[in-house]
Amino acid sequence: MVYLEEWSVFMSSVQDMFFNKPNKTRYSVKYRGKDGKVRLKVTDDQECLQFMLHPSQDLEKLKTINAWFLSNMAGLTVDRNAV
Amino acid sequence: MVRLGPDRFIKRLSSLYEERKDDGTVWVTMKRVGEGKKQPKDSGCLIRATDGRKKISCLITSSYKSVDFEQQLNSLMGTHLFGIVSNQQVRKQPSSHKKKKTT
Repeated sequence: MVYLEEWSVFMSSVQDMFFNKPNKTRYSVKYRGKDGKVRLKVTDDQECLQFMLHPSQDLEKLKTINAWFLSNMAGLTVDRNAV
Repeated sequence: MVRLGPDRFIKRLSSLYEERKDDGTVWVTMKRVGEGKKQPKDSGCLIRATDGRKKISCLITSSYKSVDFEQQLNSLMGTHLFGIVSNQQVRKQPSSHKKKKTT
Protein backbone atom coordinates (compact mmCIF):
# COMPACT_ATOMS: atom_id res chain seq x y z
CA MET A 1 0.00 0.00 0.00
CA VAL A 2 1.41 3.36 -1.04
CA TYR A 3 1.08 6.76 0.63
CA LEU A 4 1.05 9.45 -2.02
CA GLU A 5 2.78 12.73 -1.23
CA GLU A 6 1.20 15.06 -3.79
CA TRP A 7 -2.50 15.86 -3.45
CA SER A 8 -2.95 16.45 -7.20
CA VAL A 9 -1.43 13.06 -8.01
CA PHE A 10 -3.63 11.39 -5.40
CA MET A 11 -6.83 13.01 -6.75
CA SER A 12 -6.08 12.19 -10.38
CA SER A 13 -5.23 8.57 -9.48
CA VAL A 14 -8.41 8.31 -7.43
CA GLN A 15 -10.52 9.67 -10.27
CA ASP A 16 -8.92 7.25 -12.74
CA MET A 17 -9.56 4.32 -10.41
CA PHE A 18 -13.22 5.27 -9.89
CA PHE A 19 -13.75 5.99 -13.58
CA ASN A 20 -12.40 2.54 -14.50
CA LYS A 21 -14.24 0.61 -11.79
CA PRO A 22 -17.07 2.72 -10.34
CA ASN A 23 -18.79 -0.21 -8.67
CA LYS A 24 -15.66 -1.70 -7.11
CA THR A 25 -14.02 1.48 -5.83
CA ARG A 26 -14.58 2.46 -2.20
CA TYR A 27 -13.33 5.47 -0.28
CA SER A 28 -12.66 5.52 3.45
CA VAL A 29 -11.62 8.12 6.00
CA LYS A 30 -9.86 6.78 9.08
CA TYR A 31 -9.56 8.97 12.13
CA ARG A 32 -7.38 7.90 15.04
CA GLY A 33 -8.30 9.69 18.23
CA LYS A 34 -5.05 8.92 19.98
CA ASP A 35 -2.94 11.18 17.80
CA GLY A 36 -5.58 12.88 15.66
CA LYS A 37 -4.27 11.48 12.39
CA VAL A 38 -6.59 11.36 9.39
CA ARG A 39 -5.94 8.89 6.58
CA LEU A 40 -7.72 8.76 3.25
CA LYS A 41 -7.80 5.43 1.44
CA VAL A 42 -9.27 4.58 -1.95
CA THR A 43 -9.15 1.02 -3.25
CA ASP A 44 -10.73 -1.21 -5.89
CA ASP A 45 -9.58 -4.43 -4.19
CA GLN A 46 -6.57 -4.58 -6.49
CA GLU A 47 -4.84 -1.27 -6.04
CA CYS A 48 -4.76 0.91 -2.92
CA LEU A 49 -4.14 4.66 -2.78
CA GLN A 50 -3.56 6.39 0.53
CA PHE A 51 -3.05 9.97 1.59
CA MET A 52 -2.33 11.33 5.06
CA LEU A 53 -4.00 14.61 5.98
CA HIS A 54 -2.29 17.10 8.24
CA PRO A 55 -4.34 18.33 11.21
CA SER A 56 -5.86 21.80 10.94
CA GLN A 57 -4.54 22.30 7.41
CA ASP A 58 -6.29 19.98 5.02
CA LEU A 59 -10.01 20.45 5.67
CA GLU A 60 -10.48 21.86 2.17
CA LYS A 61 -8.93 18.75 0.66
CA LEU A 62 -11.28 16.56 2.65
CA LYS A 63 -14.25 18.66 1.53
CA THR A 64 -13.15 18.37 -2.11
CA ILE A 65 -12.85 14.61 -2.11
CA ASN A 66 -16.05 14.14 -0.09
CA ALA A 67 -17.98 16.30 -2.56
CA TRP A 68 -16.53 14.47 -5.56
CA PHE A 69 -17.34 11.02 -4.26
CA LEU A 70 -20.82 11.92 -2.98
CA SER A 71 -21.82 13.47 -6.30
CA ASN A 72 -20.44 10.60 -8.36
CA MET A 73 -21.54 7.73 -6.15
CA ALA A 74 -25.03 9.06 -5.47
CA GLY A 75 -25.52 10.27 -9.04
CA LEU A 76 -26.76 8.20 -11.91
CA THR A 77 -23.69 8.76 -14.07
CA VAL A 78 -19.98 9.06 -13.47
CA ASP A 79 -18.55 12.51 -14.08
CA ARG A 80 -14.84 13.07 -13.71
CA ASN A 81 -15.30 16.80 -13.30
CA ALA A 82 -18.27 16.70 -10.90
CA VAL A 83 -17.76 18.63 -7.71
CA MET B 1 -25.34 -2.88 10.97
CA VAL B 2 -27.99 -0.27 11.63
CA ARG B 3 -29.41 1.51 8.56
CA LEU B 4 -30.30 5.11 9.39
CA GLY B 5 -31.70 8.15 7.66
CA PRO B 6 -29.25 10.93 6.72
CA ASP B 7 -30.02 13.16 9.71
CA ARG B 8 -29.84 10.38 12.28
CA PHE B 9 -26.68 9.09 10.65
CA ILE B 10 -25.00 12.48 11.12
CA LYS B 11 -26.02 12.56 14.77
CA ARG B 12 -24.80 9.02 15.45
CA LEU B 13 -21.54 9.70 13.60
CA SER B 14 -21.00 12.77 15.76
CA SER B 15 -21.50 10.58 18.84
CA LEU B 16 -18.98 8.07 17.51
CA TYR B 17 -16.37 10.78 17.06
CA GLU B 18 -17.06 12.16 20.53
CA GLU B 19 -16.68 8.76 22.16
CA ARG B 20 -13.41 8.05 20.34
CA LYS B 21 -11.80 11.50 20.46
CA ASP B 22 -9.19 10.49 23.06
CA ASP B 23 -8.69 6.86 22.19
CA GLY B 24 -9.88 4.57 19.45
CA THR B 25 -10.50 4.86 15.73
CA VAL B 26 -13.46 5.81 13.55
CA TRP B 27 -13.75 4.68 9.93
CA VAL B 28 -16.15 6.28 7.44
CA THR B 29 -16.47 4.45 4.12
CA MET B 30 -18.32 5.40 0.95
CA LYS B 31 -19.21 2.94 -1.78
CA ARG B 32 -21.45 3.05 -4.82
CA VAL B 33 -24.25 0.50 -4.86
CA GLY B 34 -26.92 -0.30 -7.37
CA GLU B 35 -25.47 -2.45 -10.10
CA GLY B 36 -24.27 -6.01 -10.21
CA LYS B 37 -25.60 -9.50 -9.81
CA LYS B 38 -27.62 -8.67 -6.74
CA GLN B 39 -30.00 -5.79 -7.39
CA PRO B 40 -30.86 -3.89 -4.23
CA LYS B 41 -34.10 -2.00 -3.97
CA ASP B 42 -32.34 1.36 -3.85
CA SER B 43 -29.22 2.53 -5.62
CA GLY B 44 -26.87 5.33 -4.66
CA CYS B 45 -24.01 5.99 -2.30
CA LEU B 46 -23.77 3.72 0.72
CA ILE B 47 -21.98 5.40 3.63
CA ARG B 48 -20.83 3.24 6.52
CA ALA B 49 -19.26 4.27 9.80
CA THR B 50 -17.79 2.19 12.60
CA ASP B 51 -15.54 2.45 15.61
CA GLY B 52 -14.76 -1.25 15.59
CA ARG B 53 -17.76 -2.07 17.76
CA LYS B 54 -20.79 -0.09 16.62
CA LYS B 55 -21.73 -0.02 12.95
CA ILE B 56 -24.07 2.42 11.25
CA SER B 57 -24.92 3.02 7.62
CA CYS B 58 -26.88 5.35 5.40
CA LEU B 59 -27.88 5.27 1.75
CA ILE B 60 -27.79 8.54 -0.19
CA THR B 61 -29.77 8.21 -3.41
CA SER B 62 -29.79 10.42 -6.46
CA SER B 63 -33.24 11.72 -5.57
CA TYR B 64 -32.04 12.99 -2.19
CA LYS B 65 -30.49 16.44 -1.98
CA SER B 66 -26.98 15.31 -1.22
CA VAL B 67 -25.74 18.91 -0.93
CA ASP B 68 -27.27 19.30 2.54
CA PHE B 69 -25.86 15.98 3.67
CA GLU B 70 -22.47 16.94 2.25
CA GLN B 71 -22.46 20.23 4.17
CA GLN B 72 -23.44 18.49 7.40
CA LEU B 73 -20.79 15.83 6.90
CA ASN B 74 -18.08 18.41 6.16
CA SER B 75 -19.06 20.47 9.17
CA LEU B 76 -19.02 17.38 11.36
CA MET B 77 -15.63 16.21 10.11
CA GLY B 78 -14.22 19.72 10.37
CA THR B 79 -15.26 19.90 14.01
CA HIS B 80 -14.16 16.47 15.15
CA LEU B 81 -11.19 15.74 12.88
CA PHE B 82 -9.67 19.18 12.64
CA GLY B 83 -11.10 20.94 15.69
CA ILE B 84 -12.62 23.71 13.59
CA VAL B 85 -15.78 25.28 14.98
CA SER B 86 -18.17 26.52 12.27
CA ASN B 87 -19.27 29.71 14.06
CA GLN B 88 -16.50 31.07 16.17
CA GLN B 89 -17.31 33.93 18.47
CA VAL B 90 -14.49 36.35 18.97
CA ARG B 91 -14.32 37.41 22.58
CA LYS B 92 -13.17 40.85 23.38
CA GLN B 93 -10.26 40.73 25.76
CA PRO B 94 -10.55 43.05 28.73
CA SER B 95 -8.44 46.13 28.52
CA SER B 96 -5.33 45.90 30.66
CA HIS B 97 -4.51 49.59 30.45
CA LYS B 98 -4.21 51.30 33.81
CA LYS B 99 -4.75 54.96 34.28
CA LYS B 100 -1.57 56.69 35.31
CA LYS B 101 -1.84 58.92 38.32
CA THR B 102 -0.59 62.40 37.63
CA THR B 103 0.73 64.41 40.50
